Amino acid sequence: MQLFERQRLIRQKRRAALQRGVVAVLDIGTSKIVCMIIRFDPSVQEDAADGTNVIAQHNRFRVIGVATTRSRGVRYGEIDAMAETERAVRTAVQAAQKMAGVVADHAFVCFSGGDPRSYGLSGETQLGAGEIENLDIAHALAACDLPSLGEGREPLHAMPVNFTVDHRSGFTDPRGQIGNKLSVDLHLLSVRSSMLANLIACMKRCDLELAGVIASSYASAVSALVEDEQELGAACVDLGAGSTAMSVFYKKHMIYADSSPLAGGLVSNDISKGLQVPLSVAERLKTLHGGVMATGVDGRDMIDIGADTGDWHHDRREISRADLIGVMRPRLEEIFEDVRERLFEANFDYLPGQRIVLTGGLSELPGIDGLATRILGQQIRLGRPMRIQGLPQAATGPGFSAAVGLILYSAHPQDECWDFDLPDAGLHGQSIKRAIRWFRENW
Amino acid sequence: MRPLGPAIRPGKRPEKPDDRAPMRRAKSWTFFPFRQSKPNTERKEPPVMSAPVPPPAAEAPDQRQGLLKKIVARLGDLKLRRRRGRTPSKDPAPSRAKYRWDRLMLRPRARKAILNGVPAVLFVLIAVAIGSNPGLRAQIGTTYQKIRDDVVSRPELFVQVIEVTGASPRVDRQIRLTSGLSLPMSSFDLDLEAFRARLEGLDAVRSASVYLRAGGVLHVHVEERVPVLLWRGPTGLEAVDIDGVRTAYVDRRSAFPGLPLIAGAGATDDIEEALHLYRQLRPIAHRIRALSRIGARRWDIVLSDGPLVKLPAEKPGRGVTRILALHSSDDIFELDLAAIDLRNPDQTIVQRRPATPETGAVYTLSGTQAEGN
Repeated sequence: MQLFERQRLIRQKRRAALQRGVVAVLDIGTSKIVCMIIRFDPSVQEDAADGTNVIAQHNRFRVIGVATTRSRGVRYGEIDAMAETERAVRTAVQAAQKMAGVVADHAFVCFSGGDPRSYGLSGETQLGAGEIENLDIAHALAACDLPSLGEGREPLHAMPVNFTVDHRSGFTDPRGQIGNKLSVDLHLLSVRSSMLANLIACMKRCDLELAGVIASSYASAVSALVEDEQELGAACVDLGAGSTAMSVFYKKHMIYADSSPLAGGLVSNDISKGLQVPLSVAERLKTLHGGVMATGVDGRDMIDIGADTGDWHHDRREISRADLIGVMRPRLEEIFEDVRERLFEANFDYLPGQRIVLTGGLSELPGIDGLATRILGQQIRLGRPMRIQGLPQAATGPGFSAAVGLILYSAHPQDECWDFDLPDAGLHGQSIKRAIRWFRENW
Repeated sequence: MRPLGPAIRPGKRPEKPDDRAPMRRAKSWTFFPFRQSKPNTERKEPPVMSAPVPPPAAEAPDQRQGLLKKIVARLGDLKLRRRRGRTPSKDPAPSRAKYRWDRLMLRPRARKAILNGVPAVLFVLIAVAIGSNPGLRAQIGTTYQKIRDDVVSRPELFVQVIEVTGASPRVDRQIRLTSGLSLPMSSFDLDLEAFRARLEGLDAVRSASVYLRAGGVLHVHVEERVPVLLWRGPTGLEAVDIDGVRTAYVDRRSAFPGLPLIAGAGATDDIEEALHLYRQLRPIAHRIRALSRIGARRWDIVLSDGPLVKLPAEKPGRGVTRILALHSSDDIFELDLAAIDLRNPDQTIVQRRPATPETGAVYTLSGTQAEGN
């Protein structure tokens, strides 16, 4: 099956990168590009890959270089102008390398565009006598029939999220169980191939080898959701500049991911159009004075909106903070309504946990959790990235949760444990195993 | 935030750009009837429009101008043109070459190889290129010589005069005569150390210090040797200083009338002792012709009108004391004696001057004390 061979290739690349000890992590966003250089400490032993020791694994690596630069040539989380994006990536990578003092050859990249679509697949296999082995899991995985992803799309993630043995469900690792029937639920995320191809080309132009690509919805959830939320079920909404990426976690696995182009950049756009100011001024107004709920005092809180047109009256305008909020709020409501709709489509309502975690740069807007509460439900939390070693204070804001999640993912990927030989139709090497199996069954 | 309540602001009303123009007020509720935002101090000056500066007129190609100069001129022109065409905000991104170079320099082994290897290879290449091309070598040699000659022949670096301090006029003249310098000469051609050695080779110079002073002056400071004794040696009469070193040849004693005389081989070995003896002998100084060194170990006092006094090798001062005592008590020099032998500290032997060669006799005085009694 081509999907699993691909996944395996990616795993091998990732291992090769981690072997080098130093990797770069790139979050290619619409408003900023973050590059972090991390160094892995080989002396810390890797634990059994059962996912129980996630926190303990954090002493395995350390952030030794961080650089942020204004993103260029990226629209809605996708590479729009290759040369521009390449320059921005070069700027970030060079600065981070300079801070780290070492050169990174491999890069883990996350992005939010590419129109990600989630598929829930399931495969089923009959078990022989004895315990469930790797081969049985492989058979079950191979039995998943890949849906047609559409023209020009390819899988980005394919993770087994749940195993069912006979009628008992909820296994993370069914090996060693005894039963008659094994079925697996697989979450598959597909993105546009051109997006991936562009990403690979961009990395190649920057002399970096792509060690892994993940969706930013996944990355930010890994760092912003705490373990309980991942276990009980929660949605992470990464409010970026070019796209709003959301993902749903349940039983520590991502079961749904989506991305919407309604995002913070549109808020700046609205301010720019509504107040007739340049986009940079709009961005400044949004970050410094922006808000969601207008209170009485906001009507008296006047803001200079400077401009440089030469028209005195135009350049000397003042608005109240309430005006600014009045421009921003409808767009924010629209964004959250879109999020609600998409989560509804994903049947988020049926999850036991209804927690929604807001992260991303736009979640720093004061009062945004109040607005989200009105639209998305009561259990809203503002998420910040997990603290990891060496992370500078400047990179601990919610805008960096995707980059930090990417680090966590590269140090401890969730699909690491499902790397074993896949059954090939008519494979000769299998005949001995089959013979042994036959012996076991009959004697 | 603005304080609530009416603003009581003494003094003038805030200025408006144009009183007749209608007040522009913010849409929302405002407290003050007249409002004006603070003057924007951040406002930039409007860009000054100016005609583009034409590139500097190309100079007529100078035939003497070297290729290098031409290239430098070209590059300067290029840079000027680039700066004019550049956008005001520079791209913060590194160029691809810069990016690759920085990455290369972050690899320790490559960095070491480049930082050490490239200069070494360049050095070897240049050395080989020069070594394998005799014409180039000769050219480098002549160029070097030419540059050196240019520098050497600068008038600022010429020595014009010699200035001597610490020397008597005689030694001054001697120094100038024997310096062997044909002034003016370049200070590059002047070997100061050799010059100093030559000065110190002069008899009269004890030590010399030589240095070049600004203004083309060669300053010589000498410390002269002071003659303290005359020595009649195997080569003639010499004046010697306290170290027994010759300060000058003397043709007649009257050139140094005050200096006492010593004679004999090895007499200059212990000038201090000779001077000490002379000081002791001051009461009879007028009778003394010389101190004569015998066998390079002891002294004889040669009197102008008396016997030869033989002093002991060890502690000759005691011998002098004895002879002075004999002189003052016995007028021993008035006796017709040929020699007084004081070499043995316990006895004094006098030798009478022989009347005839065969009747010479020796009297032995058994010690000065016995004699004195």
